[in-house]
Amino acid sequence: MNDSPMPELPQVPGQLPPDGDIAAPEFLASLLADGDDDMAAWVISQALAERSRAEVYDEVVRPAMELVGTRWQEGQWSISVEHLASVALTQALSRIRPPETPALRIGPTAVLAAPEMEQHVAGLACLAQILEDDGWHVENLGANVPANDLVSFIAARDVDLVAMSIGTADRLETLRRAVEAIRAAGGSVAELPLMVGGHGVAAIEELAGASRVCHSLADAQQFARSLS
Amino acid sequence: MEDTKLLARIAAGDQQAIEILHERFAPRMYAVAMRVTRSERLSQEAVQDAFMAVWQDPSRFDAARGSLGPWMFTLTRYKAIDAVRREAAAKRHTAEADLELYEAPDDVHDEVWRGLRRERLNDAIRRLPEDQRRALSLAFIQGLTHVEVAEREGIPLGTAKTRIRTALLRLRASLETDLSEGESPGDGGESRGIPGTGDHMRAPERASGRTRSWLVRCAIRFGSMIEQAYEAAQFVTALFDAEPTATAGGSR
Repeated sequence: MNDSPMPELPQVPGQLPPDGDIAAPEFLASLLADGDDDMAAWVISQALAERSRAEVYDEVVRPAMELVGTRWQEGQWSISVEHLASVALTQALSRIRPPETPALRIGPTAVLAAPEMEQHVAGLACLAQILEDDGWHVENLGANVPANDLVSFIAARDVDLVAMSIGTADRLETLRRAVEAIRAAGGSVAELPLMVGGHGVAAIEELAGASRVCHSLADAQQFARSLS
Repeated sequence: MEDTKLLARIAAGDQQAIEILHERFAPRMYAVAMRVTRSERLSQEAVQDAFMAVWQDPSRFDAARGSLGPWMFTLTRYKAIDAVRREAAAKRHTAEADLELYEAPDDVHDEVWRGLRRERLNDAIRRLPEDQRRALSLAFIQGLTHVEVAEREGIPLGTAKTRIRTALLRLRASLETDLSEGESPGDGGESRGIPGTGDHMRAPERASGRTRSWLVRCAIRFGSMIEQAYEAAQFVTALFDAEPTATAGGSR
């Protein structure tokens, strides 16, 4: 405890332009854990004023969510807080979504999905926005998509790219089965570019049937750009 | 300078260290507070509160859990939410005071007279220098002790006392003419005392008691942040009793 008087500090001279240094992962994690999606969106947008979306999502959002996961694993935050953070992130991302443009409706189509049992979809939401920024039309199927259903969905559409993500390594097997199902579908579906990513593939470099194992959103963006 | 070294210096009472910290983080903390409060005044308060918290107890920061900047931003956000909460509470009390004020006017004369004097008090308070008005608000509206006012303002205790005392003397001088003119034409002269303060707070004279009672209500209205009528009553008592050596508000 400090008992001596604090010196008089000057007033802050008004509002400043966006400052990416505010967007520290620890701060974002605390906002998400408090369910403050408005503030979280603002913090992310501070960084977006200085860096690309892929960079911000890789360097700020992903570490923030990893921190949330760590705090949960260490027992500092409950599972409820972890869920609240996930929901808050989804809401925050929706606030900073790239603007809808007519071009997005006619751009190449990317289908995004998490395999069966997989509930972590924040990475897919981030990827969706990064692809939209690049002019892709994105159909994000979200969590827990059965492999057969995914194949049927893709086969019924004019799809240019498939992306799948897993949050933990224990979903690798279901991811593998989903990739196999797509490759076994035959026809144009079997030939589709297919990238996999997420924290769950961090330890692997290749996955049979996958065109690319991505270890970052920037990596995924680069792969998608290579297709056009 | 490393965060931990800076905080160690602050813990040792190094005033330059807190200034370095201020220079490093204050603009971004202000931006964070603005996002929460949407008010420049509340944001400045929140930033000040955050630095005061760091100054008082820098050991609250745990370097093992992250770096200093994000912690300062988080602290600022909480202080900003506190500021919004205080403001909302004050508005509620003001609304309640408004209701009380208009609930049962004695008669039209009384009501008009009250309005005129309320305006006079508000004018007198507005004319005070900013530092005195702030010190007065902290002491009588937020209910801080002199020591707390000094800490909040970052000034020596003696300066805090002087600011409060001078403000009260100035207010009294401004109101002197009004008070010496006696009570309103419709004033029956009956003392109502000061609500919620007990007999010891009643004015010694009937007319003066009435004026005090009215001033309490005015003080409640003025202080868009007044939390309790008690602080208002203290304010009026101090206003009447202020002497060059008095210490209004008490050094609780």
